[in-house]
Amino acid sequence: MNCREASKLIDLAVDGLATDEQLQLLEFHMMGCSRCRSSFQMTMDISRITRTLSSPTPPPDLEARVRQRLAAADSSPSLSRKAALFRRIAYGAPIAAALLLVFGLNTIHPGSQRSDEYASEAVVGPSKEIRKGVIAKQEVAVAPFSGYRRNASPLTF
Amino acid sequence: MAYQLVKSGKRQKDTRSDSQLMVDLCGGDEDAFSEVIRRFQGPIYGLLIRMLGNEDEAEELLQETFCRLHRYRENYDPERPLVTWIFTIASNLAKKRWRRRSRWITVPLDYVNLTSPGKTAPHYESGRVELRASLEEAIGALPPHYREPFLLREKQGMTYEQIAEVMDIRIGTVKSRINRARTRLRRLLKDTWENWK
Repeated sequence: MNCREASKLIDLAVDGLATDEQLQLLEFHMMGCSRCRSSFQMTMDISRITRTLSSPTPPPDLEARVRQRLAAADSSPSLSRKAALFRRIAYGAPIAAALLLVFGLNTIHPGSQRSDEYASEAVVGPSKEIRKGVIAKQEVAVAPFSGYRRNASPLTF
Repeated sequence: MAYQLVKSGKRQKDTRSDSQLMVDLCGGDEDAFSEVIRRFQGPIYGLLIRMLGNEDEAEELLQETFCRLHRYRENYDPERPLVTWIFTIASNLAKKRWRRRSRWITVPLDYVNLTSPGKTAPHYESGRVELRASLEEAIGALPPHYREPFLLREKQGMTYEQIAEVMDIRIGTVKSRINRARTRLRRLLKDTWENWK
């Protein structure tokens, strides 16, 4: 057994989950490994002392405060509904505004669409013949660079 | 209620099981809720204060934990232990708070007196108190995802399965996180422990 394996067994032993066989193996390893022995003792001490660490005292009026909160929530049941409505507005309004802006701008600036005169020149993807391997790639007519010119529009940015 | 027997001004111990308390609470027994608060306020507050390092926030989340327990009491499955359910609520609230802070927290425990004197020889005891103080500090220095399973294991005595349920992670992850927490603590406390032993 190496120290890495021993480290896992140390955890099991400290948690009281190691089998007798595992404990024997660990003991045998620790007989020749002072580092793991020290590690085991230290882990045991840390575990023991952690268990005895004091717990901070909760506020004495906790129950009263909890009941007060529950009563406040019960007395205004519409509060949660209002909060849900507010949340829906808070999330929904910006999305609706953005959609309106996009569609509105598209309607106001129809010039942002590419002019039809270049449409016939543009080859978007490989034609059927190229896909079949009939025509060489260099023979394909490519749309002139000017074909990609667009009128300025806020959407271009 | 029938369970709340009062004799000579002293309240008798409620012997109902945790699950029974929740069943009674669902049936409208508000005394059951008082008993749930009494049983779990200490352990949950202890965890929250060590996780958040801030008394005000821990108190706020402690209240919120019990409010949620009351609000969602109908969702409780009596077949499952109440301790994991209630710690899951507290743990989720703490995680939400970390996300809001959006950074790992180290706990400044200097204002919280968490160390208490023991009952052995004075020379041994002074070292022990020092080790306790250093241990508190070292636990506070652990990243929360190591600190939480370590505290649930060592302080609350939960099993690996329960911790996995509370934190919604695999048992293997729980084991490795506890192992790493212990390794870090050993490294942080090496000198103090050498002087103390």
